[in-house]
Amino acid sequence: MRLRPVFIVIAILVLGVSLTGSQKRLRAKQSPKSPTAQKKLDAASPKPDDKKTEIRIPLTEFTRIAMPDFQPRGDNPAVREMVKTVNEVLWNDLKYSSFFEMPSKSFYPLRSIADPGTINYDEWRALQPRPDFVIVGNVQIIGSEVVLEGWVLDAQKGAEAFGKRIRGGSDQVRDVAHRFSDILVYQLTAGASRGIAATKLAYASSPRRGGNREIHLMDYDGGNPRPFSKTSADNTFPDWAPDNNRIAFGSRRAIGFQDIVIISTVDGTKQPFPTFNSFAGSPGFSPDGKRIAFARRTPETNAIDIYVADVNGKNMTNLTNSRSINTSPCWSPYGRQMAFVSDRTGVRHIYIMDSDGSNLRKVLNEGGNADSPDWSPDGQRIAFTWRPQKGMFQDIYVMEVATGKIFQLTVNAGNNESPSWAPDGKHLVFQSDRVGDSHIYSMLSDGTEQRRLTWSGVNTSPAWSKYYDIGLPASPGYPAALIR
Amino acid sequence: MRTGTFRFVLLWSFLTVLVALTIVGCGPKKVAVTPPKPSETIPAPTGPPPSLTLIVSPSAIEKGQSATLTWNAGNAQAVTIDPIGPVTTSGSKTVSPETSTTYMGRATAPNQTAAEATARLTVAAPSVDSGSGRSSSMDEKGLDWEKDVREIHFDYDRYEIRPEDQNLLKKNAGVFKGSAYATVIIEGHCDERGTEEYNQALGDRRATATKEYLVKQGVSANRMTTVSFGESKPLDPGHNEAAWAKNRRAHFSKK
Repeated sequence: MRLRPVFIVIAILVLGVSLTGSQKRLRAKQSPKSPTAQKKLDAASPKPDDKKTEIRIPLTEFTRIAMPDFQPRGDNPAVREMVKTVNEVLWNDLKYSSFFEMPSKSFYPLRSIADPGTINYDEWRALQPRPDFVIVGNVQIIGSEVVLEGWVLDAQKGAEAFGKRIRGGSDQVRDVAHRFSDILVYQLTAGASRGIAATKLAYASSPRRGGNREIHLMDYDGGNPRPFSKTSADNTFPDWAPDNNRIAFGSRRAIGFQDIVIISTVDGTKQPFPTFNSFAGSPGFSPDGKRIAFARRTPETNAIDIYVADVNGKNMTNLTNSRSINTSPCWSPYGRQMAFVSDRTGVRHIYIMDSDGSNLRKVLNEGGNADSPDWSPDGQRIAFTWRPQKGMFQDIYVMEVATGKIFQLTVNAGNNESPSWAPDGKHLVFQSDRVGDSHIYSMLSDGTEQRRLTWSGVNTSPAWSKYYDIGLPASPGYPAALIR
Repeated sequence: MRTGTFRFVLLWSFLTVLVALTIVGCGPKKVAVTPPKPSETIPAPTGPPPSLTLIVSPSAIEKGQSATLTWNAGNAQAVTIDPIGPVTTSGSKTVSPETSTTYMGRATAPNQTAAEATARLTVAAPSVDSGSGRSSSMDEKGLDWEKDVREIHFDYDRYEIRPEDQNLLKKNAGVFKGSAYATVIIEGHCDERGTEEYNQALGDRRATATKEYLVKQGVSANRMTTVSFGESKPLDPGHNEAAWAKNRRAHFSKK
C-alpha cells in the first residue's frame, strides 16, 4: 500500500521518457503541411504528452512568440485603418507584458496569414530564432461591430493551440486588441498573469501649469485619454475602488474647502461622503472596498492626520492623533496594515501601522525624504518616492518589506514621484518632470521599459486601476479546450 | 466545573478591563472622546460648541450715514456685542458711529465655551470725491495693506513661524485688525522638493500655523481662511536654494 505512489511515479517517468522519444521521431517524419492530420495525431497521443506540453511552457523563461500582421477581411475601407491599429496595439501589449521574447518582424516569412489555414509551419520552424508560438488573425466589420479573430499556433507541433473571437463597437478597436492580448497572456502564462492591457489609469490633468486639474482616465498604454470628473475644482490623487466602479480623489472646490469626492465610473454620479470644509485629500480604498483611508486636518490641533471611515463617511476614526503631518495612506493587499508618510520626528519618513492605528513602526532608516508609498499587489514590496540626503532629485524606489532593502528604479531623469502598481505587480505608473512639465510614465517594476503616456498639458498623480472582468476562460493554460 | 468557568470568566473580564484601561491610559490626549462626568471640572465641552456670525453691511460708510449690523448665534445662551452690550441671540441693529468701529461679538454656550466674531465698520469723513473714502486701504494707525503686509517664509520642510518673521506677522496682524476687509486669505506654499501629495499637507500646515499665530495677536479666527497650494504656484521657477527659499511662504490676500 505505502509503496504504491512510488511505483506510480516511476511508471509515469518511464512512460514519459519513452513517449518523448517516440514523439520526436514522429515529428521528424510528419509532413507539417496538413494541420488537420497533425491535430488528429495529437488528439490520438496519450495523456502524458499533454502533461509534457504544459511543462514546456516556461513561466520563468521567455516564451518566444511571433505575430505576423493581422489581415483585414471584407472590402470595407475602414477595416484597413482598424487592422493597422490592432497590429500596433497588440504588438505593444504583448511586448510590454514582459512575458515574451518577440524577434523583429523582419525575420518573418513574406506571406500574409489571416487564419490557421494559410500558415506554412515549415517556414516558421526554419526561422532562427525559432518562435514557440505564432499568433495570427484577422479583423472585420460585421454590422456596426468590429470583430477580431485570433489564433495561437504552436509552431513546433504545427497545430492550433487555441483561438478566440472578440467583438466591440467600431470605436473600441484598441479595447478589442487589449482584451485579446490579456486572454493570450493569461493562456500562455498558464494563469500566472491576467494581463494588464485592459486596465485603465486615472490621473489629474490641467491644460496649463498651476491650473485647476480634472481627473482624467486613459488606457494603460496612454491611449484614449478622456476627462472623468467635471467639477471645476482642483482635483488630485485619485484612487480606484477594488471593483473599479468608483474613484475617490481630493478636490479643492474653493479657497479653504478641500474635500474627498467619490464619483461612480459607471454612471458618473457623486457618491455620498461628508464634507469637512477644511483640508482632506489622498484617499485610499481598503481592499474590500468597504472603508476609505484619507488625510485630513484635525480641527482641534490643525495637525494633518490619517483617518479611516466607511465609504459613506460613517464610523470615522483618527488613526494617528498626532501634532504633525501624516498623509499618503495606502493599504496592504489584505487590508491588515497601512503604509503612510509622517514627519513626526521632524523628517518625513514612511511608516507602517496596523489598520486600526496600532503597531506603528518606521520602515526606512536611510535619511533624506521618503514619500508617497504604494503597496504591491503581492504585499512583498512598497514603491515610494525618495530624495536622498543632499540629493537634488527625487526618484522612484522599491523596498522589500521583509528585509527593508531598497532598489532604485528611475535614474537621472528629472523628478519622479507618485508611483502606483499595476494589478499584475510587474508594472508601475508614475509622474515625472523629465521633459519640463509633469507627465505620466509607466515602467516595468525593475525600472526598465519606461514609456511616456501623456503628451499635452500638465499631468500628475496617476493611479492604476484593478483588473477588469474581460471574460477570461475558467481554466488557464495551454493546451486548453478550444475557446470560441 | 462551575467554579472553574466562573473563574475563567472573571479572569477574562479582569484582563479585558485591564487592556481597556491600558488603551485609554496610553492613548493620545483627546479629552473630547470620553465625556467627563458632570461633577468634574475639566474644561471640556459637553454640548455642541457655540457659533456666531456677525456682519456689518455695508462695511464702509461716510460719516453721518448708517449701516446694519446683523448677528446670529447658535447653541448660545448669551450674546454680547461690544460696544452695544447684551443682545438677543440673533437680530440686527442700525448703527451710525462717528468713527471707524470694530464690533466684537461674543456668544457663550451653556457649557461656558465661547465663540467670537468681529465686524469692522469703516467711517470716512464726507468728501466731494466719494471714491476716496471707500477705496483707501489705509487704516487709522497709518498701516497700509499694500505697503505693510508681508509674506513670511519657512525653513525647509518646517511650518513653525521663524523668530525673524514674528515681527512681520505682528505688523500684518495690526493691518488685518484695522482693515475693513471682511476676510484674510492665508495661502500656504512649498518649494518643489518633496512630492506634491506631501506638499499639499505641508502647505496646509504652514497656513494654519500662520493663522494660529495671528489669532494670538488678536485677529479674529473667523476672519481668516487658509488654503494650501502645495508646490503648484511657485514665485520663483528656479531649481536652487534661493528660489526654494522664496517659494516656502505664507502669502496673504483679501477677499
